Amino acid sequence: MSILGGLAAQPADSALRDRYDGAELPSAAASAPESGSSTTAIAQTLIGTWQSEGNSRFTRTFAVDGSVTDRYEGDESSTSKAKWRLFTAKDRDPLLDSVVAGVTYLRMDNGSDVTFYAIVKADRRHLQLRYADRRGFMVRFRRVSGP
Amino acid sequence: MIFSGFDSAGYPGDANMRSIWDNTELRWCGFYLGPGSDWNPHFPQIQDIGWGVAPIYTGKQPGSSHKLQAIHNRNAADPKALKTALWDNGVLDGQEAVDQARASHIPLNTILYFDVEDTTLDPDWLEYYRGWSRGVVDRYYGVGLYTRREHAAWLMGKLMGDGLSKPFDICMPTIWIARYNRANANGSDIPATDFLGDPLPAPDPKTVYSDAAMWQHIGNFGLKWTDSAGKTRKFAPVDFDTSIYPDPGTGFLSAI
Repeated sequence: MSILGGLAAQPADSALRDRYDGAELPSAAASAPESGSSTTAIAQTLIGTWQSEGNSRFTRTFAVDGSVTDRYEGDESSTSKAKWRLFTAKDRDPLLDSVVAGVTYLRMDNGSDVTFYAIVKADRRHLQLRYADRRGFMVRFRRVSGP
Repeated sequence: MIFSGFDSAGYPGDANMRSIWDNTELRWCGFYLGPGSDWNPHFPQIQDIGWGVAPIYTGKQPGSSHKLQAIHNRNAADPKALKTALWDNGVLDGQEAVDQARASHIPLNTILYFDVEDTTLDPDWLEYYRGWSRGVVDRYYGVGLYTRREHAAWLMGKLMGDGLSKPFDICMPTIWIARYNRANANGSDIPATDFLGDPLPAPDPKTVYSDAAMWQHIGNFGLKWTDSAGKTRKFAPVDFDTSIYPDPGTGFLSAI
């Protein structure tokens, strides 16, 4: 399902896109909202393991128990664990004063940092997350297992 | 003493930069390097006004760089060759960062901050970043890192740990931490209450990172000030920052 709608494009030009090297800045064509995309349905879609399209050694696993684990193949010290949950403008997170209506956000809290993403796309095969703060960097994953 | 600053992807314009300097307590700004940045031509004007400047380099990102992955795949069978190739690619980008700084007339010895937007803990990127640092330092600029707290802690631990290639060739960066006390999501409307003026909030002591010299702690807010003619002016979006240095580009030298 495509989820992100009504979200204004951030400053993005071809030079910056080149600099980020394959991991996209937000695009104005980031898709329209799809009716019926409930937070529960998106959460179910996230469960499983996803591999970064930009770096096949990096995987992110969302578990039913609310934990999320980032792993980097070949380096155990780069494993990072956090808690995750989804929210929208209706039940927004207190750390975000304002969010975009119709967009589902992912909150990941590792006890040290809280990271927010806008979910741009989540379906059986693909997951696109955009950092909800700073410069709005986009990361893309493909599913490798589950649910 | 703590010095307030801001960074914004878009340049506010020469008139706003003058007015903000004259009428607020903000004393330094982020400055995005490179031909794609509209900050790029404005360093001389900003410096003449008196702003401290933290130049920001946009390079290959951890966890999502196709080019670093290609380097890994070409050298996967030989870990030593892999580290060398990643390092060498970083050196080239470090030299590019210096070229961009020079093109903006930013003087020698200025600290260039590598902007990490994707904070994946990526060991390949670590080698690349170390090479980048060497490429910058060898051309007489300083190195910084602009990232989130967990990523900075991971990197600093790696730099001070065992198992590094070239273990005696370490450039310790000046750290600029992005960790928000308050923020608005990208693309959202900024509430009127989120246009901040003097006095600007200080970072929450519970969120600071002891190795950092700078903190970005309020994201996607607006700036509101009264100009010299008594008129209220606004600029958005901006991220609010603080630093222990009046000029994070020159670091502790600016505090002497």
